[in-house]
Amino acid sequence: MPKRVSFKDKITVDATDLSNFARSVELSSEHERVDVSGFNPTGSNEYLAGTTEQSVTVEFYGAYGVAEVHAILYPLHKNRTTCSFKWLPDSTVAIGPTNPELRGNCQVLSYSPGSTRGEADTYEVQFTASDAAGLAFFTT
Amino acid sequence: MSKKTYVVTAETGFDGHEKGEEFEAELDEELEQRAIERGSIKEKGGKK
Repeated sequence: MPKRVSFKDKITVDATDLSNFARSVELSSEHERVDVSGFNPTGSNEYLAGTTEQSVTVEFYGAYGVAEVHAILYPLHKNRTTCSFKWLPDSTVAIGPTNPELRGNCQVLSYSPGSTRGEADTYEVQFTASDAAGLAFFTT
Repeated sequence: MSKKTYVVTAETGFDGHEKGEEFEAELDEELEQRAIERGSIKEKGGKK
């Protein structure tokens, strides 16, 4: 597999292509570590994977136009709406084993736009997986 | 629900369709309402 420089990624939120308004994306998927250690001669701990917490954090440019970042995200946050989230590493290539798409239904539990004088208006938004299917990579 | 025809009205597109494109779909009622309210789509022949 070749290395890659990210610039063709596709970010879709609630069926809307926000790729051009996003500059970073990061999945977090973590199983709780449950300690099931018993007495043993070596003193080693034993763990099992517990419940799973998943989210995706996207850094967006602040944009307040029609069907742009704020118009998409704020109603989702305000109304506690579950929405679809998709991330495709390369928008110019079909979904497949070498270009898997991350998909899931998420909620925007916190929303914190802001601005700093003289700087690009950006803020991070965390999409938290909100149903049993979670966030998963698909190859079809 | 039944299929309706929509026109994409925003630069950010909708469900893989680009601005100006017409498409036929059976959208989830809440998704349809959100998309129309924020200006992503309008129903063809429907109210503006």
